[in-house]
Amino acid sequence: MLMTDSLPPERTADELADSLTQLVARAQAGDVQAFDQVMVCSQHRVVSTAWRLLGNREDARDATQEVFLRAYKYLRGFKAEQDFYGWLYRITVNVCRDMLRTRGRHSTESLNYEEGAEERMQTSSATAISEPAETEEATLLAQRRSIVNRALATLPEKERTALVLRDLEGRTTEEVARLMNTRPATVRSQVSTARTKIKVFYERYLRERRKGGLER
Amino acid sequence: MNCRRVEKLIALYEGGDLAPDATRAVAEHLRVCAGCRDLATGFEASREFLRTHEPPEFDAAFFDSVRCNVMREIKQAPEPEGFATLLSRLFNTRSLAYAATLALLVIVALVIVNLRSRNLDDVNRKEQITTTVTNDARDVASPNAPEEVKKVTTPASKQSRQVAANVQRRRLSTQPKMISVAKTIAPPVTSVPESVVGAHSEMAALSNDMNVASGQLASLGGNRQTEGERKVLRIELQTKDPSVRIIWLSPQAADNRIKD
Repeated sequence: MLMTDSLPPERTADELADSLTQLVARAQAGDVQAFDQVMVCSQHRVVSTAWRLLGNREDARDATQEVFLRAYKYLRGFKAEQDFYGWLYRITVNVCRDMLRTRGRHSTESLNYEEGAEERMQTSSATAISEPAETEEATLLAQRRSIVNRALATLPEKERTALVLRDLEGRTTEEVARLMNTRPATVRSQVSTARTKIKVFYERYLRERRKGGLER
Repeated sequence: MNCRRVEKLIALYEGGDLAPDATRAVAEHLRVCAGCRDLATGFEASREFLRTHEPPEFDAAFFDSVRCNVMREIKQAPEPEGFATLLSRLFNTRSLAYAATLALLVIVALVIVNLRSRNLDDVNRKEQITTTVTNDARDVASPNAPEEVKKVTTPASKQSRQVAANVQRRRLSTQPKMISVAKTIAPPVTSVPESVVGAHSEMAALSNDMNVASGQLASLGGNRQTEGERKVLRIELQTKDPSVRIIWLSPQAADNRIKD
């Protein structure tokens, strides 16, 4: 379960979990270097979730930074018996929801993502996506991401969050309810509505594709 | 289960979010209903479409920049304040002055409220006493006041009890002292069992005397006297024993006359 960028792969899951626990304990004591290692262990997970919820790499980066800053700020309140990744996940969801509310995310953002990605690939910016050479497959992949982002962008913030957590992150309805601070029945209702809207969007997309035009 | 109900549940059915009973019912319906089966297929396809939404690859430079920004913010952020620092920040001169002013205002307000409530209580008590005294004075002045002592209902306070006692004393002073007269006539019956017969005989003698005295009533007569503000009929009975005289005081109605 651990995303380990810098720890040796031959270590077992228990060893990795123990090392994370030790790192967290040291970070709680004020060891900033230990907190840096905690970030290394969890950055992929946080960025992936943030990207799915926000649909934009720039927002995902901002959200990831905010998530780790909040984690450092409230690390003293974290209890050793808690699940660290669950705790961090909750912070990620809250940060992304706050960003969605303040920025009012809608469909134009995902278009910017697609266009911006192509531009960034031409420059050698440190933030460029490290995709393979522009093959047809990569282009199709990027297009598909864009379409899905557009589909998700048609959803209101709560429905989008519920759908991403339930269908893309694979959380159970109860977990989603806890993360969103609501009831499971509400989550089921939101997920049902969101799936119906995604289905309608997808069918319209297929019809337009069959007609020979892809809306951008 | 009909198609209308299934259409509402299919979105949850495809995601495995229905209860087991509902899942079985929907699956049963989908086996026999082609229209709902097409609907379910559409939902499945859109879910597959959604699952392709995998995040892109983020390179090491991306993560390095994120971590650098975070570490820079952490180092620039002020140290979290301890309890002593928090106290010294909270209790600086200005904060202390504000807190003291606020506390003083609250205390003054409480004192004012307390005094007001006490004054109200005193006023209420005085009104009750005045009412009681007024009622009692009315009773005393009334010509039809009964002879026995009325029970005066008094509030529990000492002052009002004192007033009531005074009223009662005044009333008692106008009542005929029958008890004291009766004591002078005959000794208590129960004090000496052996003298009961003697007491009885004395009482019998007394009653005879009374009978004789009643005949002498006219000789003594009744005097209409005025005691204080009220007219009182005074009747004196002289018994056979020259040392014993019965004096009867009775409030008199305006039109009562003593016939000689």
